[in-house]
Amino acid sequence: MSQNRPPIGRQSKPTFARQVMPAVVLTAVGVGFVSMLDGATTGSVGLTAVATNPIVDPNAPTTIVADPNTTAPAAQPTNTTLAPTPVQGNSAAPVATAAPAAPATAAPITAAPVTAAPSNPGACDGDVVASPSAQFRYGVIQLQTQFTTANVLCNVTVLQFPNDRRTSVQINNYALPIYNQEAVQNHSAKIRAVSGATYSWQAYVAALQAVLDSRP
Amino acid sequence: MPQRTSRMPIRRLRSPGTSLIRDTDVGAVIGFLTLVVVGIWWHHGGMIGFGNSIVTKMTALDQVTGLLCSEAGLLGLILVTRTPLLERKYGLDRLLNWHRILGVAMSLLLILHIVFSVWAWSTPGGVFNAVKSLTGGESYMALTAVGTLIVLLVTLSSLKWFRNQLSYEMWYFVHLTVYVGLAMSFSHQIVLGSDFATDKLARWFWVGIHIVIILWIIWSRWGSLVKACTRPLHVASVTHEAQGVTSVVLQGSHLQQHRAQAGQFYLLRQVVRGRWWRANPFSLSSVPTTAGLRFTIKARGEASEAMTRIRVGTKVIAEGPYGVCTPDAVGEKKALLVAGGVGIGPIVSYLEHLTPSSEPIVLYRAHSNKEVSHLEEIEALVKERNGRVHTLIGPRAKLKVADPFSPKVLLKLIPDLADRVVMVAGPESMVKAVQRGSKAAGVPSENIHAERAWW
Repeated sequence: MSQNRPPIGRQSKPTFARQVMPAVVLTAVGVGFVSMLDGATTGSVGLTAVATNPIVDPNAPTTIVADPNTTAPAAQPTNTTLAPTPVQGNSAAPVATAAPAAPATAAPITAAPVTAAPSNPGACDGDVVASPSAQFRYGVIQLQTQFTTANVLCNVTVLQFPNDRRTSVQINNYALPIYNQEAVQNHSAKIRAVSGATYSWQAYVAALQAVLDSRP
Repeated sequence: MPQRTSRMPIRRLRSPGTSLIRDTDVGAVIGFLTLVVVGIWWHHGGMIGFGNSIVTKMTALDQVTGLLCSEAGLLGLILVTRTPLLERKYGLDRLLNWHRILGVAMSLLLILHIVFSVWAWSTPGGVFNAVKSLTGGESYMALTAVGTLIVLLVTLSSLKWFRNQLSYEMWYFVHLTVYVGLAMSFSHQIVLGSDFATDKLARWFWVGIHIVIILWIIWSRWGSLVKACTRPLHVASVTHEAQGVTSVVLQGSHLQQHRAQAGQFYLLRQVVRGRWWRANPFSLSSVPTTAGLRFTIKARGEASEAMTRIRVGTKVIAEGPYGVCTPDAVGEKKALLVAGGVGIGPIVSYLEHLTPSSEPIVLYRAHSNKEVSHLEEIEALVKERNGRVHTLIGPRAKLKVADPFSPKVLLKLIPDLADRVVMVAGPESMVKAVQRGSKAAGVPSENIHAERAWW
């Protein structure tokens, strides 16, 4: 192989400006272009929120699927009841303290109209658990899950998702309901990713898996 | 010199134009592409991932390695366009060498990209599920997986060891499939790659540079091929020069418009059944003129052997000229020309081009007298230019000195060596020995010029 070969016809020595200008111009173009792109979310919070006491802002426009559970405060820890079963009524938890001897009966009173009788093991009226918030590249995804009395995942709603960028809203509006549906169908975090929503998928699965792992 | 066969006055071909490109421009373009590619990732929050879980870390890494892998691939494709912009600055052999380096870099980044992706996707669900998703579960990933496999196989087939195991045809056609592999992998970048799937501007930029490079390949690479095919040359004469060494003169009515210079080489393909699809490089062995292009060819392999048996009248498609190792390098200085074996071809063309002020000294190294060609021609040319010829003939063991290119021997033979421009053409080992020896003898490295052994 050769070293230091001359150019054909010999180039004259370039001026300093000739040497520097292309780099300056292209750098400016590159920086300008990159700054025109959609930015990522800023102000990232911690990796996970405390799972036992999630903070949910009912006014936040983050819910995708209209569900009675999400508008109410999340479930309180169940140790206020004396009943041996850890089964908690749905979101109207404080009511249960009024009737410690019969925790199950408290549920139907304040439950959403769709809720079936508590004795039915297939009904979606078990624990409501908020997931840790899964931090990912474009923001945070936090889920609220509900289980049947037989501890089977029966409902998932999204409490938080990145909505600071138009594209994020677009993608998540499309993908998250699909993930919700698949999670409930499979009763697990085994969900297929939707094209273009891979990051959301990873965060979603991580959040859901964390909840499932915390269940007995 | 080629025989005069037409009534047109014979003149030297015009020299190819000078490239406007500077080293700094190449640096600026590579820098720009890297800035934009990493900038897209950065601006989309690539770094945020590092503060988080292993999944986001791996995701951030798989993204950035994927982007850089594509960048290396795109730069490698630009090099094979053989665009005169770059070729006339650096020479085809150097471009192809960089292409190889970029190919290896691309594959290493590709492997990292795969490792990081599988890692990121394996939580939760495990490695097996991750692999399943990434080879078919995800949309376009089956296509991508096949494409990736092709790209890796092509790189593997080009590594020296594997390359030597394969026939040229086999290697060539395997290598062509890389376009298919790249096209197949492109789909997942746009559909699954979050940087492009979710950001319209970034997506159009990415699609845009791919389109530009495809058009560039079609225009520059295929264009030059089409041009060469529509202006074929034919074999005007074939002369036996020495044992296994033949010189072939190509002529054609299109030579008038040709631009070429001594020291350059062409990719020649015989238009003969079974050979038309393969082009091999051969160096000019005389100053190119409108009377013809002369190539001195030694039967070293199957392709060059076939070239030495070419018949007069055969059509030849000549792509080129390529190469930037030309006698321009000598300028006003004196010259030392070192030829090894059939490397004498380009040396003859340099010699013809030089003026008497260069007082050329030619060192001609050959293994036996039977191999020696063009000697009378050289002696005449050297005489006209106040120079001299030294021949070093015989197997290495029979030479008087152990290393004929050691600085001591060179200086004894050529006392003013340090003031000369050294130009070498010959086998790699000899080229290296000359480079080493003349450097040690005080020749600045910018005055040592070597041509890769094409013939």
